[in-house]
Amino acid sequence: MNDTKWLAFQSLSRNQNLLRAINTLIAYLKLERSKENDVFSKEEAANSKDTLITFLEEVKTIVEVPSMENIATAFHGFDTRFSSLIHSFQQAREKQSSFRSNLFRTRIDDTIISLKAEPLTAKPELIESLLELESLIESHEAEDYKNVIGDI
Amino acid sequence: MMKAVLKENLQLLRIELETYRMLISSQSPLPIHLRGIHEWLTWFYDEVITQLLNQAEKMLFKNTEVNNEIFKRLQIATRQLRIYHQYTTAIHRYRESDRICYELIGWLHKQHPIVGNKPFAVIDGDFKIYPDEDYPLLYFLPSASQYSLLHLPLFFHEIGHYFYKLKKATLQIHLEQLQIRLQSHFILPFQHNDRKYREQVKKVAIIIGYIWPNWIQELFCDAVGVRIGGLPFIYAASHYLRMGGTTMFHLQSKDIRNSSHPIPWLRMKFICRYGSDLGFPNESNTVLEEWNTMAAGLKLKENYHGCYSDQYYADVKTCIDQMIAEVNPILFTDHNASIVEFDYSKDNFLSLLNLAWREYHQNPMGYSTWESGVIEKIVNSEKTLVDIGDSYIRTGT
Repeated sequence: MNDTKWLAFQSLSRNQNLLRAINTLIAYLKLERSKENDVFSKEEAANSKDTLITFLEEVKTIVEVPSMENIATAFHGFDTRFSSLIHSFQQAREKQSSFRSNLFRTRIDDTIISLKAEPLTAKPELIESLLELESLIESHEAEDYKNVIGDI
Repeated sequence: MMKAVLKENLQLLRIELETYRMLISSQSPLPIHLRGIHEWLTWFYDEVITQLLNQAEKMLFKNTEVNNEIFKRLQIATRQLRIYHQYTTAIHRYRESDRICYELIGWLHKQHPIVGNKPFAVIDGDFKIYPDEDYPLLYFLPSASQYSLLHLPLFFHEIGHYFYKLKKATLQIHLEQLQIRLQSHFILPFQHNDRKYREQVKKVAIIIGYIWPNWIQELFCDAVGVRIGGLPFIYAASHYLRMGGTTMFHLQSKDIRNSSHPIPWLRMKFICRYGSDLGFPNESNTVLEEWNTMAAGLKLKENYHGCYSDQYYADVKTCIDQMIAEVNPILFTDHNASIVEFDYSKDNFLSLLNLAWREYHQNPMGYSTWESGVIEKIVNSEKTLVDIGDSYIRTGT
């Protein structure tokens, strides 16, 4: 009735899905590259890829488009936790940040194009982008986890 | 070395998983209300978590360097187990008296086809819901409220959050329209691109972009509560919220900007105005008068630090009305019959909740005795809810 945890729970659930998708995709790409993959099906990898593309498409519309004059449409009614994730994404793309992968240094579309490529291959720049995205989402997820479950 | 650590973590997780499996088998026979959640948990443990662990185990035997990926995968499995163990609690801590909440929510879901056959569980906690499309709904309510008919209407607000989640894409369009309308109220005095102007823009961005998306969802859920529950919801919300201290009436500027909910006093204004529109002008005014009297007694005045002003009322009200029209929750008048005694075989929950509040207002001192009698009858009734396909029906003699 007057509690904020449901927002954190929604965010936690969303972040967990993203982290699982990233983890699956990185492991799949590495194992495919060394011809050792009998762990993940093509369908599971494709689902993970789709999850990430959908997320990045959404992020792209906010991170690359808004101007200070267009406040209302810039936020598209996202919840506070998602807005906070977007804010972290924007900060990671600033010059002084420690994020160095293509995802944070070039257009987000470049990473989306790499993800859509057929066949999907384990290019070092794609893996690096996925690892940095994983790191960014992990920090955000840790806050949600603490809010929902608490510290030990 | 790393592989040994990973193997040990994997083994410990398998033990934890077995414990959870044992806990969800602890109710025998399984109460009918718990079938949905039990089925989901069985799938979650047998498919989702087991697959994560099996894949991690398989990767342990690869030559490729995937130790980090195994570690992260085990971490995901650990977190998932700990997040969703709350659903397990609903099963292994189940008591026969939980039944009244399960029946009310089961009835509520059945009235709204968009909810479908969504599994749900009820556990202890402050009133809230975890509304997720991929996982069962988890309802929380304080232990004492589980035995009080007076607070149960607050569930009608909680299910509003799930409606919002289900219809989010459409409701966001109305939210965006509201944001644009609200923006027109903020006429910025400085049009130069200097520091002062940028600070003003930032303040407006926080109010419109961060605060209102949360606030409108809460006000929408309150409207859902009034629409489904009628007067019992208005009374329950007023009683539940008003004992929260001075923060129910007033927040400091920094706190209001970090809040996910509107100040309860503002919520009650919207609740009562909505209640008045739906046919309770006198009762709504009385409730609002109580709040105004308490605020006056505490010497507190309205101050929303720029986040709300009565000038915004029409825009906010329009947005709520549009959202309600999209979701179309049941209206209390379609279900609520005025009764003098609850008959379990034919009366619905809205009638019972109305009766409870009437009893309370007529005889506050004798209410507890009356309520205990009614709850006892329900809990001891031989009638049960039977899950048949996509709906709950009442059965028994």
